[in-house]
Amino acid sequence: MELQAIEALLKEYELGETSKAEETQLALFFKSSSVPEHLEHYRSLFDYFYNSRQQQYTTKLKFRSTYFEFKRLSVAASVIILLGLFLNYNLELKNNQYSEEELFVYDQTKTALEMLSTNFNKGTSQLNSLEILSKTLQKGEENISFLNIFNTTTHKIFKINK
Amino acid sequence: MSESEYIALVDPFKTKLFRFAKRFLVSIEEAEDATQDVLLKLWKMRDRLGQYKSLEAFAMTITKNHCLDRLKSKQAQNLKITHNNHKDHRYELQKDIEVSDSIRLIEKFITTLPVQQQLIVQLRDIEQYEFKEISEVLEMNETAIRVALSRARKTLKEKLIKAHRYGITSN
Repeated sequence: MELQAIEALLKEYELGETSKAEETQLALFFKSSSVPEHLEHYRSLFDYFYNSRQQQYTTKLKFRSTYFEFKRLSVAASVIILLGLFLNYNLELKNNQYSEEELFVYDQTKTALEMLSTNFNKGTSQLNSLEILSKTLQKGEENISFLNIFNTTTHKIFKINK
Repeated sequence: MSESEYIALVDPFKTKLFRFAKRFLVSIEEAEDATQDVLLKLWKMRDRLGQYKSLEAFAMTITKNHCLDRLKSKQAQNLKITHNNHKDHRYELQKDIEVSDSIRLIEKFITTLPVQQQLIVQLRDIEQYEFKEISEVLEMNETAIRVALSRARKTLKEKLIKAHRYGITSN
């Protein structure tokens, strides 16, 4: 396009009189490499307009409000916790299944502890005789108190003054 | 209307909503939030969308009102968003786009225009809307839009010539 025509268009452009088609013509002209020095300032302007059109909005639209999202998140969290507990429980069940070797050692330990327990019981039964002795001693003590009463009474009878 | 149908419906213009919101709110995050809010608002009224001649223009109007409300509540919280406070912040966020110095400079020039002129430049020169569509979105008559656009273009031209003459663009 001739330079004169461009200059005429620029005048109209400045007045806000150009049509969209004419503005496209201008944009194309300033995109080309043959922009004369005295119109160079317009090139950066049209560059700017072109550049501004390149910025895109790519954020995905969220249809639910954050409140519902929080709700959904808490549901998901509780499901995870329950699942975790369940798996943990299952794991413990599995751990209870011991190997044969372990069971053998367990039985041995059990019999050893049983033997210890019966011997201990024998020991305690012998302690019972000590208990009888203790009871007899207590009876003897009571008898001594009778003796004391007897003693004071005889003192009264014989009027022995201390 | 299913969710996927709705996504397909708004897909052709959702980026325009975002860029329009960014013109108001300046920061990319805020513009993304605003776009999300507007799209959800439209989703909630999906049964009534058929009555609008141009869904895109309607969506843009909703975006405009939403952003104005956001700015108002910001001011109420005493967190004034003036465009100048934010300019450095914005460029840090625009990592994905190669920003040359001259583009940066023009961005700065545009943000110093009155807000209405900024919006008109956005809709006409960037989004390439017809004047009729712009008047629908901004609820202004076409003559007033042409006048404002002409003022904006003149201001930008003068600033650019000045910058070009003194070689500021090469900084």
